[in-house]
Amino acid sequence: MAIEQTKPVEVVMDGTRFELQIGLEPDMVAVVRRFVESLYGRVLDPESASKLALTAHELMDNAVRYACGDRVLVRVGFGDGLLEIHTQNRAAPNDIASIRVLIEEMNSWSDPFQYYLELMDRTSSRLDSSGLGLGRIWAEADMTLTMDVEADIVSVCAAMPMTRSAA
Amino acid sequence: MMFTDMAGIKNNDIQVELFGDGSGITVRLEGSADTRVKDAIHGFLQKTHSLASEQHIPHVTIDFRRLEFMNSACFKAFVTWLGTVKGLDEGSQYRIRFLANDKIHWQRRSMRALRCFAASIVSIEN
Repeated sequence: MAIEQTKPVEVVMDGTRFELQIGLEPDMVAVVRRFVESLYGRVLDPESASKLALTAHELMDNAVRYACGDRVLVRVGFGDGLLEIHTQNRAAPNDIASIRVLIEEMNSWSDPFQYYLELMDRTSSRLDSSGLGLGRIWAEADMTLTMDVEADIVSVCAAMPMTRSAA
Repeated sequence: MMFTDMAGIKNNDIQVELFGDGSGITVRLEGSADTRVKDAIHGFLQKTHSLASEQHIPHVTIDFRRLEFMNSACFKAFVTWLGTVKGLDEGSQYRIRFLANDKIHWQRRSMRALRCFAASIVSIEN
């Protein structure tokens, strides 16, 4: 899917599914996080809405940080019993490769919390974050991560089994 | 001796302040900690560590009760700090107590991770 160059923030909403494109301003990440938690707090229990908001923030942080171009696409919605959040952006080949290595490493562990502790240990003496955000999504938000690459466009998806609560 | 010389952090989204004396230091965070302030928080924790170490402060309290959110970049600053304290000789270590808010859901999960990462020096109070 190509990322279109459109207005600064463009939102499409359909019930509790939405898609938006944001510019690469770091302060927009917090704005979208609060919006996600507020919106999905109306259909999810507070804990799940909090997990979704945390995931949204961490994914967007990465996307904004590593995006080439001027836009990141964020999409949240329910499908096939899963609650999914996707980010999509253009990225440099070495950054795409780095994300792939992190997700493949994560998927080689069976225990998300032990992986998270290992990451914390590994990164505590390093200057960069090195995957701590993705590890946090898996260990704290209980969401599994996958990625898809088409040319220079990388899509990262976090998902968890979910049923909507009564509003 | 009161510690009032250390400048805090204050911007639109977050406020960080330190207060205390020779018996203990408290660092209070209020607002939202994200990428925009990660370097400031990292530097603040480095100074806190220097102060605690040089003055032989037995414990540091981190008050998260009004911290709405913290992203992984700022979380890493705390991980780095805890790793530094963990790596000291036992006689040079100080205890770190986190004050958490049960109503802020991410804190329950993140505090558990910090406690497991540095169990010998960290305690959590809700």
